[in-house]
Amino acid sequence: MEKLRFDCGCEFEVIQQNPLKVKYIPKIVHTQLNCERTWKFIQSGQTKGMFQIESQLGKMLAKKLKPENIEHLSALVAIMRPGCVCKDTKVIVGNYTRKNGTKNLKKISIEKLYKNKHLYTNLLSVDEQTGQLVENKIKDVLYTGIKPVYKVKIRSIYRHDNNDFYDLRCTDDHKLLTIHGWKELKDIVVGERILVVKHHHTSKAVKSTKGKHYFKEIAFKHYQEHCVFCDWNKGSLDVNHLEGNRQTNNEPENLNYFCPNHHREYSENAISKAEVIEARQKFKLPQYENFIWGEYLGKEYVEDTDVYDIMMEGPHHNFIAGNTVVHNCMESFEDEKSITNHYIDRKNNIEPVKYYVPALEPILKSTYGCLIYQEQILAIAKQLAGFTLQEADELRRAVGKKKPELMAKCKKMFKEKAKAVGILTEEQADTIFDWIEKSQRYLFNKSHSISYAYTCYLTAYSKAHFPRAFMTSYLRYAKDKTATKKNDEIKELVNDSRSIGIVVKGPDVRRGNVHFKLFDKEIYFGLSNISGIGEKAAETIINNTKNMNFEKVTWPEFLVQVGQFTNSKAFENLIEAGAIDFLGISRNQMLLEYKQFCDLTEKEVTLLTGGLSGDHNSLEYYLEQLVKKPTGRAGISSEARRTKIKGLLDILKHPPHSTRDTSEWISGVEEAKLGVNISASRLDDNHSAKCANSSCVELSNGGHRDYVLLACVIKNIRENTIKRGPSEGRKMAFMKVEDETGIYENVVVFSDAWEANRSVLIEKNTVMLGGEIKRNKETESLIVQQVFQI
Amino acid sequence: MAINLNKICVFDFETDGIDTKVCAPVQLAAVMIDPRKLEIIDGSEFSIHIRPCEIDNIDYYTSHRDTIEFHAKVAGCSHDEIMNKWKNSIPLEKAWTSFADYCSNYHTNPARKTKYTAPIPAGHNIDDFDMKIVERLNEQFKIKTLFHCRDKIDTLTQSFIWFENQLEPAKYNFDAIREFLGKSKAGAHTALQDVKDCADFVIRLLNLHRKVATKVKWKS
Repeated sequence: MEKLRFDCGCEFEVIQQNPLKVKYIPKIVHTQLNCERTWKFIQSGQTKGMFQIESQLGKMLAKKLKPENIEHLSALVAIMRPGCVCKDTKVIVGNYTRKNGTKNLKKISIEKLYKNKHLYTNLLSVDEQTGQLVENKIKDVLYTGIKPVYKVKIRSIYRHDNNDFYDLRCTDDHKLLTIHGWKELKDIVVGERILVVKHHHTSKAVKSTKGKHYFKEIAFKHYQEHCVFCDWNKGSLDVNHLEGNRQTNNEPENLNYFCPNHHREYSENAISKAEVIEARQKFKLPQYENFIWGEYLGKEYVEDTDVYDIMMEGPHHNFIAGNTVVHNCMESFEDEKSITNHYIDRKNNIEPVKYYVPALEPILKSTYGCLIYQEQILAIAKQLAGFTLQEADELRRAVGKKKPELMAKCKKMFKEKAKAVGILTEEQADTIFDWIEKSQRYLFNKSHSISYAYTCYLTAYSKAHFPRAFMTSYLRYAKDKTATKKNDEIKELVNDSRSIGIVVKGPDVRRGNVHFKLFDKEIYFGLSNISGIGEKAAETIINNTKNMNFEKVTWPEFLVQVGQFTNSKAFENLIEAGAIDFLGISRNQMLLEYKQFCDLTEKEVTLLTGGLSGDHNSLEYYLEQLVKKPTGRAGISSEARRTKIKGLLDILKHPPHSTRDTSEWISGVEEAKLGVNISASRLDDNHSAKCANSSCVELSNGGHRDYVLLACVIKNIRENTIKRGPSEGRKMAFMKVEDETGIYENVVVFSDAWEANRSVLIEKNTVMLGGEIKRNKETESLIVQQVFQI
Repeated sequence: MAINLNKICVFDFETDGIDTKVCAPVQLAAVMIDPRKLEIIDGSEFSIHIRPCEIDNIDYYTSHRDTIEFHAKVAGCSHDEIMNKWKNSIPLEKAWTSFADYCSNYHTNPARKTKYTAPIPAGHNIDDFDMKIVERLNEQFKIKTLFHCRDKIDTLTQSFIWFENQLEPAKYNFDAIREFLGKSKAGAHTALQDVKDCADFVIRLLNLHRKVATKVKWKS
C-alpha cells in the first residue's frame, strides 16, 4: 500500500494518485499529538481557520505563547475568551462642551473605531475607585468574528426604560460592571444594578415622574430595590420616608425601601429608625458625577453579526459602549499584569515561576503557577483546606455561577478548614481565597478547554498537512459571512494562503467550477465567487460553455454563445474579474465591444452569427460585414439601423479611451469583484517600484538587506503621541503596508520622518519606504527614514 | 484630513452654440490627473466626436452658421466637411454613457462607487459653461455619480485669484492663458489638446498651492 509521508513522521494511506486522495480521518484518536509540523504551524501565528484561535487575538497570543503541547493549547483557549461588542455599538472617544455650556460625549461606532484606529488613541473609561470619567489609552481594537449578540435592556429611571439611550449589544460573555463587581452578561440576574452613563432625560414620560413619583425616582437612584430587612424585591415594594412625607423631605437620607410587612411594622414603631439606617447601608448605591446604577431588565437576542473588542492599556481595563460601562478584553489577575501575560511570560521563561506556598506546586505546576482552571480550585480546596468532594463542588459552583452569597459562605468554611488542616497559615488561607475570588472572572472548566484544544489541534493538523484542501474548503464557506465581511474574509484567507505558499488564481470559465475548487495544487475562484454573479447565473454560464472548445474559441464566438444568454451585468462582471482572459483580449476592449454588442437586435446577432468564421478575434470585423448587408428581410431592417451600427463600428474603430488594462485598474476591479487582487497589483505598472530591494513577505520572513527599499501601498496608519523622552509630545506612527506578496505589519515612522512626510503617508497611497530593520525584543520592525511618492 | 485622493478629471466640450441650455456638444475630451503624483495618468485620454441631435433639421446649418464657421476655421476645412463629420459622429446618448463608463473607471474605491469617490471635475470656465451642460446631460441620461458632488477646479477662477493684480495675462480666456504660460497654439480648440494644456495648468497650480500652503502661517 502506497503511503504519503511527511517530514514530521506522519503517514497517510494513498487512495488515488491523480488527483491525490489520501485516507485521513479527522479524529483525535487517529492523530499524532506530538506532530512537530502542526505545532510549528500554530507557533508561527498562521492560525486562520483554526478553531478558537483564528481571531486576531488568537493569532497574536499563539505567536507569543508558542504552544508546544495540548496542555499549552488548552490554557491558551482558557485564558483567551474575549467577550465582544456588536459593530454598531457606540463607544465614547472624548467629551466636549457645547457653546451653551452643556457637556456632551463624542461617540463613534466600534466598527468605525476599528477602521480608523490611527485617528483615535484614547477612549473614555471609568475609574472604578472614584467613579470619575477618565481618558484611557487604546492598546488595540480587535475584530473577533461573527457571534450571536444580545441587546442589553437597561433602565436608569423609575418605571421607564430608556432603550434608545442605552444601546449596548454584545455577546453574552462580555462583562459589565455590576454593583457586585464585573460579571458576564449571562450571569447577571434581572434587577441587578449595572453602571451606566447618566442620562439627562427629556421625554414627556420621564418628566411625569418628577411629579408625585419624584421621591421614588430619588430612592431608585440611591438604593437597590430591596426591602432593607428581608431582601424582598418583587413588586409592592414601598418607599418609606423615615421622617415626614413626600411633601416635606425627599432627601435620599430620608428614604428607604420596605416590603409591605416591614413597612407596617415601621409605621407601628416596631422597628426603630436607627435599625433601618444600619440595615439600609448594604443597599446603598455609590453616587458618581457622570454615572448612575441602572437596572438590568434582561437581554434579547438580536442576530449573529460582526463583533469587535478593545484592548485598553490600563490601569482602567474598561470602556464605555452603548452608554454602559463594559470590561475590555484582557483580564486582570493578582496584580496589574493580566493572567494571559503572566502565563505567556512564565511559559517562555521571561518571568520566574513561583508558588505562593510550596503546597500549591503540584496543583499549579501544569499552568506555571497560574490559576486557570476551575478544577485547580477543587484541588486547592481538597488538598489545602481538607474539603470533601461535595464541599469542593459547592465551591466550584460558587465560582462557576459567581454567586457572592455562596462565595462568602465558602470563604468562611475555607478559612476554618484550612486552619484545621494546618498546611496554610491564616494569612495564607486569606490570600489564596482572595486569589480564587479574583480569578472567578476568568476561570474555565478544564475538560471543556481540553476538548476545545483537541478540536483546535485537529484543525491545525489538517491545515499543516493538507493546507490546499483546507484553505479551499475554508474559502468556500467564506460566502456565508455577511456581505460586508465576505470580501475581508476572502482577502484574509487568500493572503494567508499566499503566505504559506499556496497559489490562488482568479476565476476561469474553462475550469467550470461554481465555487472555490482545487485544480493541480492551485486554488481557483468559482464563477459564483464573483460579486454580482449568483449560483444560477454561474451554472448558466457553465452550461453554455460545456461543449466549447476553449483552445479554438474566439471572442466574437464567445459573445454570441454566452454573452447573449447571460445577464448583461453578470457578463460584465465576468469580464472584469478576468474569467475569460484566456481569449487574449484586454478586459477593457472586451467591455467596450460587449457594450456595442448589446445594442444589436436579435436579428442582427443572428446575421452576425451566420458569418462567424473563427479567424477574427474582434467584433469590429463582423460589424463591418454586417454593415455591408443589404436592407430588407434577409439583411438589416432599416437604414436607421445601418447608421446605428455604423456608429457602433465607429466607436470600435476609434475607441474614445484607451482599452489597455493598467495594473491599477485591474487590481481595483478585482478587489471590487473578487474581494482581493489576484492577477495584478497597483505596483506592477509603477516603474519606480522596480527600484525596491525587498518585499513584504521577505520582511515578514526575516530576509532583508542593510537598507530596505520597500514599494508598497499603505493599508493602515496608527498615529501615537510620544509620552516620554526627548521627543515628548511629538507624534509618530505605526503602519501596516501591503504589496503583491502580502502584508507587513511592523512599520514604524518616528517623529522626524513622520513630520517630514505627513502629506505622503496616507492610507491607500503608493509609496517607496526607505529604512532599516531593527529588532526590539521579539519583533522586527522597519524603521522608516525616507519616504518617496511613487 | 484634507489630503485629496480623488483623481482629477480635466475635461472640455466643443459645442455648436454658447447657450448651455440648448447647445449640443460636438466633441468631448478628458484626461485624468493622479492627485498624489500630480501627473496625467498614462493612457487616460478620452476623446469622442458627438453627433448633434438636431443636425438633420433643415435649418440647422443656417441657425448654427457662425459656430460651423469657427470649427471649420480651426480644423482648416470647409463647412460641408464639418457638417459631414458631425453627421457621422457618435449619438449623444452613446457618447455620454461612454464618458460615464470612462469616469467610473477612475473612482477612488472601485468596490463602492459614490459621489464622493468620483473624480473631481476640472477645466477652464467649467463653472459657467461645461458643468451646466454636464448637469443637463446627467439629468437627461439619468447618470448620478459622474463627478465628485462637492469639489471642482475651475482654472478661470484660479486665474483671476492669481493674476487679478498683474498686467499679464491680458485676458482670462484660455488662449491668453496658454500664451502667458508659453505654450504652443498648435491644436488649440481641438478638445483633446485643450484639455491636455488645461491639465498642465491645473498641475502647475496644484503644485504651486501645495508649496505655498505649507509656508503660509495660516493661524492669525
